[in-house]
Amino acid sequence: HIAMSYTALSVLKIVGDDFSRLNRKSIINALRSLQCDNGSFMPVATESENDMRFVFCACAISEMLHDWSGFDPKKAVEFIVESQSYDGGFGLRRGTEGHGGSTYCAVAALSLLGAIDSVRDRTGLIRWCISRQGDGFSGRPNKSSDSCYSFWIGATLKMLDAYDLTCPERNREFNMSCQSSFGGFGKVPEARPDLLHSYMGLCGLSLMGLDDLQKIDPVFGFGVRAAAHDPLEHLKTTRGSKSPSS
Amino acid sequence: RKRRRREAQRTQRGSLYFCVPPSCVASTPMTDFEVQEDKTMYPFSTNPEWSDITPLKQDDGPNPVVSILYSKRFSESMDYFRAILQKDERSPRALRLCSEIIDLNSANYTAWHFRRACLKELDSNLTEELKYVSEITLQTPKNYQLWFHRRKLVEWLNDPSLELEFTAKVLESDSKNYHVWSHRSWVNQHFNLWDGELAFTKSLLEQDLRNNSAFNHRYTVVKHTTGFTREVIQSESRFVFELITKAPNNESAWNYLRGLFDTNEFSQHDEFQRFTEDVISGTKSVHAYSFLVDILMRRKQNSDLLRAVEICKNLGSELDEIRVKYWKYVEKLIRQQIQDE
Repeated sequence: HIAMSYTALSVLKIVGDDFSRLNRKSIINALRSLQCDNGSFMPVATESENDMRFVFCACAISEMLHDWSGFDPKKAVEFIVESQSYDGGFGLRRGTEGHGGSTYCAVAALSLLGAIDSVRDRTGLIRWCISRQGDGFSGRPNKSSDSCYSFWIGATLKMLDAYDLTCPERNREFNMSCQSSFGGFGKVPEARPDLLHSYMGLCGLSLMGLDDLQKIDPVFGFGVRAAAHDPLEHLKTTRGSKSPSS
Repeated sequence: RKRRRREAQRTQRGSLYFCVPPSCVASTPMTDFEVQEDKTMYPFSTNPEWSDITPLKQDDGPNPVVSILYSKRFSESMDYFRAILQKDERSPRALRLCSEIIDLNSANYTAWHFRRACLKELDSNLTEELKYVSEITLQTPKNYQLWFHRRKLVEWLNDPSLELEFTAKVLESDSKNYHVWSHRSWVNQHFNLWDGELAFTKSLLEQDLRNNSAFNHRYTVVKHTTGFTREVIQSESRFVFELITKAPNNESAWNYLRGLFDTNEFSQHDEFQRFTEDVISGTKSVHAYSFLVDILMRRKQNSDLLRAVEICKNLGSELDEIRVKYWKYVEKLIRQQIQDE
């Protein structure tokens, strides 16, 4: 499952593995059978849904292994670009509602593809992201704040160099109010804490830079230390570029 | 007591929020419970129907980390499922086993896939299967696998006749469920079923004019049917004007209006501007001001651009303080535009 591959590789980076036991070729070859005609990705080769989540996974995997031969990047970019909604956010696929999660996946994937300039309406995207802030951030217009969007939207703004346009103090206040009395974060104040919101809530706090937390790489969603751990660095083609086409 | 625990588990699962990427893991019950006491096959070890199967334990290797505290029922059910998978046994009991696994973890994509394999092999009644999916949708309406499974069934049956009514029903409990709108959109496009869609979005917006999903669906419907012709933009903008008049600071409505404005082909800027100025004269709507800035930025005359700058200053200092840095950034963009002109 492409999301499991992404997660597994991320964990290996985090714990400092040397990647020597990975069958890298097979991972990359698998991506070929997962890309759809429209550029999107399925998570498993037996038929399944396909959308922006897995486009991100494919790009993150390719970057972590420094091997972009597994899929057609042009088609992937096209799929992403077409998924921008009239309101500036990105949906899971074309025509669907702009949503914080899919927006993160879209922008992170474009960053990895070196194609962030392909966004049709960058101004609208920034406006949409900035408008997501109530106290914390919501995932869609007219929905309430949810701690995990402090990462999904926060990271997106970081990648667009527009994070400084947010109000981190209010954002922090909200996230902290989502912390339960016995630890962990829930999606909203008083909500039961869960792993996802604890993870995302902490990442969001890290982005704010107001607490003593390790820095988070906005593209990958884990620490910069782990992101910098690159056992396959010698395979990187162009220095400083994540683009397969450069 | 068992029933109360059952209900508690249902509520917990139903209310668990699944954020979009890339999570697909559902909760695992910590306690044993039976959904339908007469229908479950657990415990398998004492069930004569399963006496021929050797359960296959989960192999987490010699040093498992972060092991999940599975319930006895979960472990045993999965042990028998693994055995059936290994055998690739696509039988009626395998189909029932899939139901058990799905009940324990509705995000188990392998169970859903194998279920489809069994359905095909057994040439099962897909209409009955659709009923099954519909039933569990009410328990876990935000599950990706479930909605994909439904899509496959509808495809195989080549029959969308229940879909519009069903999606409308699910939207009654959560009018913004992303999966539901997505499925409905798919039905519209795959079967070219557009009659009544505009009216449907209208009725949803009558219930809640802040329903962002309904606005998005409306945009998609127009795009796929009439397209954004001059006449359509006119009628759509009238429609949105009415909604804005009722709630002048509704971001979803203003976004939709901006969407119409951005189709760019027809310069109805005057009408849009007139309406926006009207709103502002009555209410200090942040979104109205924001839209006005966009209109003025299109105009390119110095006087318009300077006015846009003033609006940004007002938004940042007074009306939309949380976004003060953003409005300073927009102001900078406009000043840059003034310089460039």
